[in-house]
Amino acid sequence: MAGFFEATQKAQAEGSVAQTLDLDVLSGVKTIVDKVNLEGIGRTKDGVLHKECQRIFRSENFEELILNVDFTIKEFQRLGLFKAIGVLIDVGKEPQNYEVSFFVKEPNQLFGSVQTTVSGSGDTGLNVAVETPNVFGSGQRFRIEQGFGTKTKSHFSFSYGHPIQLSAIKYINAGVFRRNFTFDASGLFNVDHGLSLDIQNEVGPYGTRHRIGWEGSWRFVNSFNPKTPYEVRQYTGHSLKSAVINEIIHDTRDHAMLPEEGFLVRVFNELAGLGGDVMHLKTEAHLQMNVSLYKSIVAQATLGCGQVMPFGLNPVSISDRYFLGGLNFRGFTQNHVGPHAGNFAIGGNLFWTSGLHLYAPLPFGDPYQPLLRHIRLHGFGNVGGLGNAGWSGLFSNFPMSAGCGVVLALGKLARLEINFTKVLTTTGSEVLSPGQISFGFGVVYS
Amino acid sequence: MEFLLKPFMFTSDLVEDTVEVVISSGDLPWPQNVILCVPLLSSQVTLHEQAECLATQAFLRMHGLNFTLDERPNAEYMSVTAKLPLLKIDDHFVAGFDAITTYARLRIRKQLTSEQESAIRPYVEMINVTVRNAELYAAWVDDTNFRSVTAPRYGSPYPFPLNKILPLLKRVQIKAFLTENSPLASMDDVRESLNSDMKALSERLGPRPYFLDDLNTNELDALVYGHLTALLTSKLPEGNLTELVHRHQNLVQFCQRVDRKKEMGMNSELHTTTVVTSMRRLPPVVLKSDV
Amino acid sequence: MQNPRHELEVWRGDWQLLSIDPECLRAAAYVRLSGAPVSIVQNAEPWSIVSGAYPVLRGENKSQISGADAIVKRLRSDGFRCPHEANQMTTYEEADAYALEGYIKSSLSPLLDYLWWADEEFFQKVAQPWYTKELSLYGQFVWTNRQKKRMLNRFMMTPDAQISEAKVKLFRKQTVQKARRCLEDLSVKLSDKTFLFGLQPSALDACAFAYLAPLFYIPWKSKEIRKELFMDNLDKFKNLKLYVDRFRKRFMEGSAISSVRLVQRPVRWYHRALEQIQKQQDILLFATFAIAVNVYLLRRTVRRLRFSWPAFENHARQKVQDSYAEMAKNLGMKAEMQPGA
Repeated sequence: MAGFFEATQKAQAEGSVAQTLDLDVLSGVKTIVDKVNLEGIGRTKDGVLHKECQRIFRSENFEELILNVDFTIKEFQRLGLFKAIGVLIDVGKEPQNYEVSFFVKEPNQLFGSVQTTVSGSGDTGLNVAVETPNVFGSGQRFRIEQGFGTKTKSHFSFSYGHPIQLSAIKYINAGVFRRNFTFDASGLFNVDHGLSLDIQNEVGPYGTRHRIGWEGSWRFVNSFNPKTPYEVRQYTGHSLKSAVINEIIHDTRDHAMLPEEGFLVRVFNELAGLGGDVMHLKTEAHLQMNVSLYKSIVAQATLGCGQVMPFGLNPVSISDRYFLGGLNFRGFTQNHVGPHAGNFAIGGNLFWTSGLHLYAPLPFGDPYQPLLRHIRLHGFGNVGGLGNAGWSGLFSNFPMSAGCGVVLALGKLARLEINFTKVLTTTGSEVLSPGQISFGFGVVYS
Repeated sequence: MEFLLKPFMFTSDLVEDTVEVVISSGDLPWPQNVILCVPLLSSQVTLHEQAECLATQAFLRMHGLNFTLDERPNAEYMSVTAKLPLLKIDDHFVAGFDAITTYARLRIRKQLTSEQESAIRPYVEMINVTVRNAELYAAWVDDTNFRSVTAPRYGSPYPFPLNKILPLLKRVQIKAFLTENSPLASMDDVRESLNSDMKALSERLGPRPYFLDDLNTNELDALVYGHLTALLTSKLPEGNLTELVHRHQNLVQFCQRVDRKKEMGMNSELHTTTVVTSMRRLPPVVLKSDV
Repeated sequence: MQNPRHELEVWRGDWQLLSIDPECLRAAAYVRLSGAPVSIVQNAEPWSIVSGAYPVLRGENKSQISGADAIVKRLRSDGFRCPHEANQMTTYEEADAYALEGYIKSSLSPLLDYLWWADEEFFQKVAQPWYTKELSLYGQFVWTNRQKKRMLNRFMMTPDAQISEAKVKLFRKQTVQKARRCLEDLSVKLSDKTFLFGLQPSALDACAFAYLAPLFYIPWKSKEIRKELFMDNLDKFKNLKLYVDRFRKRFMEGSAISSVRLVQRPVRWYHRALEQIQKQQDILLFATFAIAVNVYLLRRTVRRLRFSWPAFENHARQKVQDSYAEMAKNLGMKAEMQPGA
């Protein structure tokens, strides 16, 4: 759009009357685009550029031209082809002919990022990622990521993404990973080595993300706590999981962590059993709805449920089971809702959770200021159940908690909460948060 | 498997720590729901593990202490100190033949005198070090034995490709241990070493029924029984280890004698039950707090 | 028959011992006990041996047998036996001797290794200076460190799936307990006899002496271990100490020790400096690395700055001119462009 505004400014500077051009009027202006220039291309291949620029050539009028140019820029950005794009729309040689020029700057060969994380269970972490965007010229990307944490959680992954048919939204990803994390609540730690292969796509007018793929991993679970009881210890050892994954996410919220409107639907299916000795069918669904009541006061309702069904004689391994507590069930220590053996949680095959929140801005300041946008007060109620023995049991006797607190959103990445919670009912087997004030940090919340 | 594991806490099987545990459990009699956790005895267990498990079972049975045998494919990971077998008693764990026998003696207050202890300790040590190293070498380092017997057995509970990878990883670890800690370099060395050990044991036993006392048995008897039975029933093609034991008839008769005594201990009023599970993973133990 | 020109090569010893290595001591003690006509030679160059191969019995025609077990076996088969064995050894005692030899070795050898290599205080104050005196540069810098790493790794090895951070502390506890039990057993077995089997010495005595003598003679530093071992009772193993003294005086002293092939190094002026370097080598390495990184970064920065110097200068000049022009305008005067102001 730069070209257009430059033209206006030049006219103003030379003293002539600025002509205000309406976009409505623009739709009446017939255009023929006879040239699209791209300057600054190095390693990007022609194929993807041709495909994207076809759109521009098809513009019939000026309004369409501007919209198509805008769309093309967005596509370029999505594919990660360039790190800076400038555009100039200029008149061509003949009347009604226009030339579009893109001035682009390709990103460096390597692009790294370092990120520090803090989690609610006291683990601090560091994530170092190195990415090569647009490595073969058509939007492919390599990514190597290594993370470390104080509680020896660490992961390493190496993945390659390739756009399908030069489209920006269909990607096929292949990766190798190694993950290292602890189940503090159960006194176990888990080392995973695996491969993953999946296809990501966006369908529909609202950008519903769909991912389907396969993941194979070799998991090793062992105990680091000598007090871990026998019932939990029986899950230690090696297992091999080969699973087909299907995930659909439809997200119309305006902000991932403190949304004001929109809703999120996430459905996740995993069928493990084609190869390996882990055989189960896992289904999970999450729903979150936000309604803005008055200015920046927002009501939010969440609902989630999931089930892991084992096939054959083997029970579900502890790495595949569900745990509740912490940010998705406030008032209880992380992962400590549900059946326990002594003080150690064993997780459950079934879970359901539901939450109701009312967000209000801080009583001072403008709630939409950049800083204060990320801080809200909230009152909440959480209810849910986790167990192994069937749904009816989960609905007859379940824990409930309610409270209020402060939420701080760290960008769109994570959420930090300080809450005063009161546990209303409990089934007696959970471990409550110590003290009334609890602190939670995470990405998944309810 | 060091590279797969991160360093974590380690519980000890030292005598002092065992004593602490016993004292803290008060003057309680041997409880009813004691579990002895071992690998799958018919399909997975390897030579020296089998010896230790047999020895522990023999010791407990001969003293009339009941237990439930629980066979699990992940027994070596369930164990707190990675030693086998694993004994779960009350709410703590004791792992390894030495620790279990020390613990059991302290608990039922039937200790040996220091002369008896110093008489059998050199032999216990000899079995725990030399005989065990020989068994490790024979089962894991020798190529024919490894490929034909040990690797298929060790990997049998796991799916492909784990059933090929895990034995190889373990072999690397055992080889590293043996190169540093034992002078064995070939199957001939193994035979020679086992031969001298058998000779020493045979000479020590002489014509007597048991090693120390004519009536009572102790750790040494259990340990010798365990290892000899494992060697007598081993199916390793290379090494001909069974023949080494058969050279000393008094040892073979000793094994049979201990077998009979075990049976007698088994038929006492405290009966032992065996739970054999041959599946890859076991159903969870049902808990009271299950929703 | 044996030729008196047979030599037993052992590690060099100190502190009244023929050798600091228990296996070498064992072979030497057996030689003395059995009266074999073998002369004992001390050596201190680590590269001339394959590790684990000492002691070495060298024959006349370049034949050599290494390892105490093999040497004892060979001497025994050649007819050189200890007094007790030659006369009245029962099968019981033979079995006991075999088991006890293995027991002593597997109980005391880890403790000796630990005290020598893993006890930092001792290693730095006694072991390293001792090596510095005897060994050449290669021996000091490369070999000792490599041996130390190897020993520490060995402590961590087990044939099962366990690994832990606390293993070092626990290892010490376990080693000391094992050693203490062994000492107690030996003490009980010896009680107040002259030798372990009665009045006459045997190969078992050679073995016992070989492992007990370093424990009692080398000036170990670790107070905790001494406490744990002796349980605050220094008289606990008095009979063992007397036994070791007796044995040494009777068999291990004498004129048949020759020290040939020792690399005698004169103390050079740079040895002090080298010693300091060795002590501080971690800091030195880090400092070198830090300086190298800084130099590299500095080079890059300087190079960059060099190219923008003109722009920098121009920018400054421009700013000065602008301020002059403003000043002039405020005073109602015309601004004069002054080049290079």
